[in-house]
Amino acid sequence: MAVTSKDTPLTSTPFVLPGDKLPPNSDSANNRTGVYVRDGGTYSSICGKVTDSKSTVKPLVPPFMCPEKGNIVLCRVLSVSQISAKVEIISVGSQVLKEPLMGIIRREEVRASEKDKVSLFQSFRPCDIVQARVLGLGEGQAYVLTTAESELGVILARKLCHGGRMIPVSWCEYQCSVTGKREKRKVAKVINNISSN
Amino acid sequence: MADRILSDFEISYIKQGVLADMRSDGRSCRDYRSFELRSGIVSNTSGSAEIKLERTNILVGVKAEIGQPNPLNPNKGRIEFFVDCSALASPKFEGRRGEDLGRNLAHRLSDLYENSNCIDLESLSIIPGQDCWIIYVDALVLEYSGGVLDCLSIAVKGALANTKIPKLTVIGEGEEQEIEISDNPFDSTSIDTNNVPVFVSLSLIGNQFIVDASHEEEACSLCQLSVGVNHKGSICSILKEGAGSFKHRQYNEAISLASEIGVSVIEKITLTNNTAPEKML
Amino acid sequence: MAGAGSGRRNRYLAPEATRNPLLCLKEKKEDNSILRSNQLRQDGRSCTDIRPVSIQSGIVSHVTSSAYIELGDTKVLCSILGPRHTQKDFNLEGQVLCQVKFAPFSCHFQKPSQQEEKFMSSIISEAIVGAIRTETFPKLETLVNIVVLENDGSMLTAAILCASIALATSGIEMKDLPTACTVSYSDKASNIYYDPTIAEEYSTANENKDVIGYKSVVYLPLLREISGVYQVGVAESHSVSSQLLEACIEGGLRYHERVRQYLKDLA
Repeated sequence: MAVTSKDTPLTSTPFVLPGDKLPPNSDSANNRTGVYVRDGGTYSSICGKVTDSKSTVKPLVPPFMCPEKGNIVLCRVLSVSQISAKVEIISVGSQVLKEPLMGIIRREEVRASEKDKVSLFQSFRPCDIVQARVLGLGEGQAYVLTTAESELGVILARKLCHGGRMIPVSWCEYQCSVTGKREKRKVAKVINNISSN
Repeated sequence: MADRILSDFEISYIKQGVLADMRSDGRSCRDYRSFELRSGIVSNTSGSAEIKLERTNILVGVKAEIGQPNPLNPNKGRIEFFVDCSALASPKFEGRRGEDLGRNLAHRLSDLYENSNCIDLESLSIIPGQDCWIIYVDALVLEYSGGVLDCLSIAVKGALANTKIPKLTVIGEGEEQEIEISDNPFDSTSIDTNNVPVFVSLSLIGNQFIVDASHEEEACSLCQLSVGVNHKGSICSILKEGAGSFKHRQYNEAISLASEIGVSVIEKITLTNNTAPEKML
Repeated sequence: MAGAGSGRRNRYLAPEATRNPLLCLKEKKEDNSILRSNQLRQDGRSCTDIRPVSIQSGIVSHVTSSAYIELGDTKVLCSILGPRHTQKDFNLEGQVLCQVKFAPFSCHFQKPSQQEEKFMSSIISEAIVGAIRTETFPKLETLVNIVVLENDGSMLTAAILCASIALATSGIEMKDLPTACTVSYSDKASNIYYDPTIAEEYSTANENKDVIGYKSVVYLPLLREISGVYQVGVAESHSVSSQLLEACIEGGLRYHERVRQYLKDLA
């Protein structure tokens, strides 16, 4: 039986399965996806190839990323009410989810200032693509999200009646490229790399 | 089956007790609680038994009826189990919530009885392919508080040992066979339950398997091994339940412990049955 | 009482009184022994040989991941859904649900009842949940759907291996890849048959006096722990039971090697 013993580090075979021991690593293995620590040893928890001596596993399939507090997520607005907007999270960080997860943006967490004057109907519309940050797991099904930062908010909007592209014209307005009509939104200031806290 | 939620302190208390081989009720890890088994207590049945183990209370009634054999086994009788977990036993069985557990328990019992050849089903055949005895075993969980599978198997064994089947004679040949029942109600046969196994459940707490877990101990055990054991100490069925896993060595220890405990439990049942006053049909 | 037909209510049925014509055979096949005179089994394997394994992953397109496995004629399909929102109460640990279905044509005679399907589901889910890092998907659930297309023995082995491969290619983090093996055994375990076919597996309908039971074990090969045991039939003593366990683990490691090779080729 050529089964790799759990005690010998897999230096010879670069391919690892869940449970294979990785070479000892100077970095702390905690908080890394694809790796777990048991009895002081570092083990792989996904299939992949060990790329370098730092025991980074290049995954065969990108590991599932659960939205965690502080993560930047992209979501699509499903419905808007007076107190909250329901969204579906379609990607976490740079990874697209296989199945969308539910999220909720409450009225108080749309923007950082003048929270009491926020109208959700003037912030989001169904089908908008919103960049948001995860606040927490939430109690029910949905994750609690926030857009109370200038980089967060609607990043892509379309006019529902004819599907025309809308262009952001100020921090609170989008303009339709076809008709020139303006609509209120919580516009995100799009920058390339937004830190995931 | 864990339905109680324990605090961390309670869990660590139970775990340390297991480590020290002194559990909260004073037993060691290998001790079985004493149980009370009474048989022949329901008059409308062919056989019955009731078991009380601490607060768990189960009543089993056996009825023998005539029906058709399973086409796959035309010359064998049948034995059917039904377990009722009603809201009487525990508030969590309210509505239809006890049904799943009841069906699962019944399935475990029929699995055990069918596959260990413990009852001579061929003796229950009347006319092969046409008529056979069907033994309906109905169990009623009167109070639910841990160790249900073990209790159930003990009570069923007790009830079957107590069962009286009326004597039948088959008259005629070929197509015109007829069944005739004896006029004398005392003219009956009983089922040989000598080989019938019982379940011994072992719960893994910390790193050790313990016998006959109480309700609280069940709630903090990671997984359970339920082992069917007969009077010779043979292992008739094994199933692991719960999410945990264990080492090879723990398994071997657990199985040999189960075999030992099973034999002693069966000795107790046999003693009960022999001393119980005979009740006639 | 759950009738035999209760598991098939989604399907148009012939009248309940129908019978399989094979049951009318008056004479059962004479030679139902497992070993031929040359100590090989009917299909030419020795006692410890396993049947050829064929694996394919990613064959269902709309799910997180999927796998298909064949052990000889036993064919099992598995797909993983999620992690996704659960209908159950909030739980910081992720949930793993498992659902086993037998295709209506999967068995020689009658397909197992709904109750048996549920029973198999619980055995499989309890055996694999220990290997999954459920803390990586709090409050979500993962659904493991298993469909048995054809059951020619060792169905539990095939289901576990199939679920294992599907999980490994799903991106869900795991502590280990569960492997499994089924053996059937004769009296006093004098003969242990690895990876039995349905004819070699013990059942009450099978008048096979040579085999008195079978045992399936799910093993976590790298943690070296046993996460599932299911034994049917009598084992003479606890030492026989341990002997069978050893055999299962040995067989399980062989399957594991095969799965590892497949995943390695995939990379």
